[in-house]
Amino acid sequence: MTDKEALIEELNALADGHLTKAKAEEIQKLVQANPQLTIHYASIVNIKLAVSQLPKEAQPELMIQVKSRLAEIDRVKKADQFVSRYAWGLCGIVLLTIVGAGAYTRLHGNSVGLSDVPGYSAGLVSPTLDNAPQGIASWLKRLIVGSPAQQSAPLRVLKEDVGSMGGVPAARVILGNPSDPYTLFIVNSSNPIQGVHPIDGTAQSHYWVGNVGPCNCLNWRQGGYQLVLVGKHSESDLESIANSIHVR
Amino acid sequence: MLLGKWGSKSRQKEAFEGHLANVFDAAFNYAKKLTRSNDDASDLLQTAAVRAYEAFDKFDGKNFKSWFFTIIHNQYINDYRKRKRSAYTTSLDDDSAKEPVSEEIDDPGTFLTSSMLQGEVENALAKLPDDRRNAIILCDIEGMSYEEIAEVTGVPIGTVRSRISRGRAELRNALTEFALEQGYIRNER
Repeated sequence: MTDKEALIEELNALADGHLTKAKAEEIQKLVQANPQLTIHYASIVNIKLAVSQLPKEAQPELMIQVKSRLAEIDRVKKADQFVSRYAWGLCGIVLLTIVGAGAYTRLHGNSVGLSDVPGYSAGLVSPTLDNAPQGIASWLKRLIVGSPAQQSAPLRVLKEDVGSMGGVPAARVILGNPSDPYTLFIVNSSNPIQGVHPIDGTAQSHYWVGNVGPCNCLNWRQGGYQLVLVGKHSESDLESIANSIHVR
Repeated sequence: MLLGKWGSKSRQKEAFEGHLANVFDAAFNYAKKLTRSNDDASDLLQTAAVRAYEAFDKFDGKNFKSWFFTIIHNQYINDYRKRKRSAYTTSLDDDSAKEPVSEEIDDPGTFLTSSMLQGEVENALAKLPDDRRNAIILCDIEGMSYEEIAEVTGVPIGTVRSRISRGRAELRNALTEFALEQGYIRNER
């Protein structure tokens, strides 16, 4: 930097009030003694004044926009914080829902509903070596249907069909006589039958009752199987027949 | 953002908006002088305000204007200067910025404050290299001290002095040329 450049910087600093008192007095003396420096100093002051007087604008609407952006930032941050703070909780809820749904499906997924019985029944066919599910076949062999006291003639097994109901092995046994049959469904499942209610109104009831179309039905559990007895008979008649059914 | 300094989030926001409101118009004018466009100035100011809000916990509570102008300045350097004026930068050693020879002409300063010449002053200011224009705006328009300008622009005080001196010299050259062309002053060479 030349001496002249240094002096010009001092003049600018003087105009801006950034010299020490002693330095300012020294430069002022130089300015007063030299007409060219006087002119130069005056031009610096005038330029400073001209720039400082440039028009300024106020932007009230922009301030409102900025405030609204800041509010938006806060909203987004709040949402982010909520998600991050409760992320484990939210994940836990989702996990519990999945586990709960899985457990429910496992417990109730293969349940047979009374309303589905006619549909399932159509899919059952006469047992052969190929289609007879082992458990059901052995169960049928051990089935004993006694003669209830109120029946004039002992019940006979008229027909046996096997297959599946709701994805679980099942069988259908037609009992009685062709003009007045009882139909016994045997379902290899411990899941309760849907659509029945306890005959005595308590959850501990052995027999549960419901309707399949126009027929009454009686449901009970025996030997790990769900049994459903269907017929155009009263519930007490069905209960009487059910009491006579045993497994060897 | 840390909450300790301001108590609660709402108090922090209130404090920030209070500080911002005090310097907002000056900040807009600074942004406009930097970008030379209302739209760009609005964008620059909004972006800087958001950055400042997010970093408000780092503000030491002393001089919000300097702190905020530093953010505006840095944001401008990052976003705007590179995009729009990359070809127009000069260094302090650039000979084109040497002091003008003033001996040959009458006082050029007396006509400068006329309102009809404000547009020319604005134009001449706009044509300055960024670093000098910035220093002059902060000094003459915003009334900042050299120390504050050094803080905002991130350079030593000596550099600030040099930029202001050379920037004014260039302004003086441009305005003198204009004044000669328009006959406001005469060349006695």
